[in-house]
Amino acid sequence: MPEHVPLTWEEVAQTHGRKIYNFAYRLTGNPDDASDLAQEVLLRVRRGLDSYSPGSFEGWLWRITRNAFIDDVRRKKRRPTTSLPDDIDRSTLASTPAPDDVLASIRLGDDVQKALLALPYDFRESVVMCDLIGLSYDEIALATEVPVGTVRSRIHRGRRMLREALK
Amino acid sequence: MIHLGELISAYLDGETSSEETARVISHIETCDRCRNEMSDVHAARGALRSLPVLEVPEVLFENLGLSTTVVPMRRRPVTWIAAAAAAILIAVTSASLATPDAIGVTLYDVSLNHGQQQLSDPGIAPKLAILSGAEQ
Repeated sequence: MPEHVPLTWEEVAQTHGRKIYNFAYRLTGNPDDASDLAQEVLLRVRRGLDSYSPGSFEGWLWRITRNAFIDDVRRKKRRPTTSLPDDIDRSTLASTPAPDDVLASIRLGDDVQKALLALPYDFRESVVMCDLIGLSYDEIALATEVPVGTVRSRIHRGRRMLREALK
Repeated sequence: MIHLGELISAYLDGETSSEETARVISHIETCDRCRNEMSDVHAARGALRSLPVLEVPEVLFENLGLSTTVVPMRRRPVTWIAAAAAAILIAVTSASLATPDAIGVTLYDVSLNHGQQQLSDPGIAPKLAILSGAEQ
């Protein structure tokens, strides 16, 4: 199936903005950092879109996203790191009525988020791309610039570690 | 015996070749260790996929001078192979725990039950609503 390539930056932002923000949040566990990172990614996309050559748009986009994240981590190494707050900011959760069962689901989500943040970066990145963003192994390999076999291994080991952490 | 290892995740994600798929199906029927590992990986995968989808803060788009209208996030739909993998896992597990009163589980039953469970899952239901809206 031919891949649809958005024509304008605005279209990229509107089509992929939420995915980029969710990716950033799941990797950082912090809404402010996620917002800053998503903004940086969209600015890089705007700068790079003119030179984009036909190929895997998803691979190109997520390579930009992960590079922005890695650059951000490098910049912050000079500053004290902030870990996941005990009480995740719920103001950014999709706003729907919150009966008890929904709140229970959110609490479970907090545990998963904490376990996710405890994973080594390469594993966390791969499982987020696969299970939360919905990229194929080929797309993840393109984005992370590693062979598909490495992607397989990272996803599997990441899930096993996550399972152990949640037991 | 060579165990399945990372083939398990690839299989659940529909990322195995036909030869690998056949190997997984054949192996999982007789190997407790790999069956347990598949169960664990399946649970972790499900936990990740049930995380709520977050709204983009409006200020993010406003800072960029963009309209705040965003296309709802779409996740990759459950593939038939992943559904079949879950069905096999459940069927194999059910068989190993079967009692004389146990009722056989068919692929159709598992698919049906799996779908009903997703719809009633509070963590997933809002996203399904978004998905159906996006695909119209």
